[in-house]
Amino acid sequence: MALAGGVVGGMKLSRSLFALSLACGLGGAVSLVLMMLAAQIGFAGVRAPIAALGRPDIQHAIKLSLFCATIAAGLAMLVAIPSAYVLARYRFPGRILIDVLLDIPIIISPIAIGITLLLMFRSAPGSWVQEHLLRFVFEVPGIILAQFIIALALQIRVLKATFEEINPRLEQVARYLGCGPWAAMWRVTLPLARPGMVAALLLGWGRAIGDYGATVTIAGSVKGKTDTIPISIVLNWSAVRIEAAVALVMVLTSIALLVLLAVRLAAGGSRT
Amino acid sequence: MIHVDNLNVSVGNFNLHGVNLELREGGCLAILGPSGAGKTLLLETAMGARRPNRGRVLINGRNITDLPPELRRIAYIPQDLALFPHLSVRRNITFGLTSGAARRGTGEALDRVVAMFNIEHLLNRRVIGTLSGGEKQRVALARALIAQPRVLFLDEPFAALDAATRADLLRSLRSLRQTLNITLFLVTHDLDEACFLAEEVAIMMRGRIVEYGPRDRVFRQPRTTAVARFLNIRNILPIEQFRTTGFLSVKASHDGCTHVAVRPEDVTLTEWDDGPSDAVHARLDALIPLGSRTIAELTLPGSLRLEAMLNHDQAAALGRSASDRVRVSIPTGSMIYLSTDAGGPAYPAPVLS
Repeated sequence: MALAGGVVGGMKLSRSLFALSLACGLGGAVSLVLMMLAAQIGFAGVRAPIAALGRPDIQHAIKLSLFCATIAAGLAMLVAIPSAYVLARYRFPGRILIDVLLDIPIIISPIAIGITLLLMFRSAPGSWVQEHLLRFVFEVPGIILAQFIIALALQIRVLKATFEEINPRLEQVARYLGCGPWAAMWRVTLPLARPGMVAALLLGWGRAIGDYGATVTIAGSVKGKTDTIPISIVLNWSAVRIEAAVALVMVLTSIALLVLLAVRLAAGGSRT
Repeated sequence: MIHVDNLNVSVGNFNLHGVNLELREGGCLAILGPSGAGKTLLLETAMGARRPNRGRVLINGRNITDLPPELRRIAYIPQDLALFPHLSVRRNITFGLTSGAARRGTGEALDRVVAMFNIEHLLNRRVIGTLSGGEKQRVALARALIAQPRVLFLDEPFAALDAATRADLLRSLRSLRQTLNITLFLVTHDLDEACFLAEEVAIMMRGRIVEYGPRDRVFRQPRTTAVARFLNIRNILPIEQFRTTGFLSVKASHDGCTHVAVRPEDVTLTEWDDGPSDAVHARLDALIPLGSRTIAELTLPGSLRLEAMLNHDQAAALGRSASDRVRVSIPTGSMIYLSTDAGGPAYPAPVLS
């Protein structure tokens, strides 16, 4: 009897320890993020950063970031959708290699992406493009290109998972019901992929707007020209304009919060 | 109507070898076979979803092998039905009415199929997931038939349904076949389904058609032991061993056949002292009730085992008998002579062989 009581007691203790360790893990993570958010407000308060938002250079940084990230994420979606669809639907020689190649921008440092782009534009074809088509180095198109690559890899990953979850038989049946390949894609696959597409667009956009390394390497930190929000944060911090830097950090944090909430809502839409 | 000519397909290590089939307009051909036999691959190739390595598929004399699916005027219902989850029931059904003329006649066509499958009450359901299995099946059939296809390809469409719903749908489909004169190409592993719908049956094993012909001939007189086992004919015995038990009416040699099969329902049991003169003595090992029927397990001389199917009264009489000795007789005409397949049996060996 005493033995049985001891075993039951031991099991209760084990369960309690298990629950406690889970709570500690989650509590620790949430506390750390909350402390970081509190530190932003605690350091500069709310008024000074809000006032800093009225400065023309800060407004320029915000407008430039919104413009570049929107164009980059939008263009990246146009490439990511067919790429992810092919990788999700077809089996062909070299598929795994292509899959791995497209993942490289996720793994390597953004600065490495920037340096690679700079090297690309030093090459003969790159120089020709710079001289005859469009200038990228130290220019706004350079920002868009860097952010495009950063967003593209992430979007392909999200969209590939989305397309893999859609039953390919639905398209097959649509074809036998009279749809051509475009119509089957338009009427069946894309509507079903909509939550994943929204999530991919928002995540790519969020990743693009927050990029510093790739952007600063190819476009530089030309004040009033190529200073996106992250670049402006560094410029203001270096010049000891703390309120301005914190104001931009708060802008980036708010964008992250909104994007992540929107992604959760979009993903929720796919489950219902 | 449909002519499958020397179709050869390879998918990974699996090959479909030289398949030849013919299906007349308004007819129904059932492709039967165990899992992994290549039935779905044959269906997908015949309807054009896969490109064959060799061979062709003709519909009304026209080679459709290179024709895009949307131009073939055939309908397809896969095993999972593939109803569009983002569309309402109404939009699922009318999905195939894409051309201008078809769109103008949408209302009339919708009324026709809705009446056929008695699904008017489902039309405004917005979420497909809320439909029952039988309702989904009816919606899938309505969607497939609304554009009046020439052929309907069905891939084990009733596999996930309960027995009552399945029987109900099979009856609907059979009556529709007669009304619409639609041609059916059915893939199934269910013998009852094939028996109920099809006039022609092809049995597939390991990527080959091993038996093909009119339903009654294939079901009553299979030619090989593997097909007999697939058709669930339980008593398959080597001819020589069978003769040694005393069934002298079994022919010693019959066109190279090595085995003889007897359906349990063709085996007659009588008490020890009764029965015809050519009956053989056997020991009754067990009576296994199966609802309205009972299986009697018997041991013949030479330790050969045999099953007999009994009705309620026969089983009750045997159950009352004090002795476990019975007499077994088998009409000569009910013996099925089988050859052994060159590739060996495709299925687990039956209990009684």
